[in-house]
Amino acid sequence: MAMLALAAVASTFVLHVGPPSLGSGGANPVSLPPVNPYEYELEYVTQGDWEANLSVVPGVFFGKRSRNGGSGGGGTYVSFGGGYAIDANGSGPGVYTALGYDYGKTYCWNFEVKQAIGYDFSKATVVSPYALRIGAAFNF
Amino acid sequence: MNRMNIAVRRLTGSSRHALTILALALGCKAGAAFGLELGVGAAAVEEGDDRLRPAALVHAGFTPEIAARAYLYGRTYGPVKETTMLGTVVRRWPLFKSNTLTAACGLALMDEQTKLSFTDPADKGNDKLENSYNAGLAFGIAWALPKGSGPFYVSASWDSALFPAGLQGMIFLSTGRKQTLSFIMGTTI
Repeated sequence: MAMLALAAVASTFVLHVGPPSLGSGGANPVSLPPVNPYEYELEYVTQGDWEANLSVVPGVFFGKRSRNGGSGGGGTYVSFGGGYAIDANGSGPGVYTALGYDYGKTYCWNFEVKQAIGYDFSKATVVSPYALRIGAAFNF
Repeated sequence: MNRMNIAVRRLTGSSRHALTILALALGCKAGAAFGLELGVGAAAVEEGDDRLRPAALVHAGFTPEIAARAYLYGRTYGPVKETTMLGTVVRRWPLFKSNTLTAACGLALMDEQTKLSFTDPADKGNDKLENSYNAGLAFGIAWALPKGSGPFYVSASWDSALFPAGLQGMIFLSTGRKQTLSFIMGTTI
């Protein structure tokens, strides 16, 4: 999978690529090459491990990372927070959690699985998209 | 704890051996802060289609770090009976330095069984049993009563088991997923 990194200091930008689950059942649909916008995700992580996640699926979220071995990049982390969950069956406010792994210092390879649960009030339905993605992170 | 230690010292040799064997059999050490967690519960399972299915589960926590679960759910329609058995073994660690929130990551194993069973003797030849096995990654977060709340064990968790969709799943990150929202009640021995 392709990946990129954006830049600057004491914070982290991450670009993820990977097929999300759209809520249509079965395995995640893969596009080759990955030209669908919903395959991408941008993350911004502060030095204090607060993070903002922007993607079509699973959605837009803000949360906090809990790192194994303390903050500062590298290793395994788990994120938890809230935002707006989106998939093919609807969208609505919700929560998310993610399990990720950073490998590297300034430039990191990153692997992350993220799941979300939201509630679409207009359709009275639960949406639970998820995505397994890889990417690159740049700590600045 | 001191009273317990004094009482144990006063036991005769054979009684002490019996107590040790009992403690080992229960999977815990005398005086240890953590005992074996055993629980049963209910779960809502989602399979990548936003539909929630009811499931039953059993939970065992062997150490503060290692736990296992087994989920069972399915449905019957006409001659078809679908049964899914999902098992996970995970390592747990505290989340946000909390003593009630934990994250977990480990191995998931699954058997999706489809049984075709006709009641009409004329159709019996079409009876069929098919098992589909898969192995993948389990991860999730959980809330549980703080340690030391024994003998009760209560937890609520949000977990996922991700299975690669064949060889292309390994390469292109295409996966199938079983998400579980679980509520568990039990005891700490």
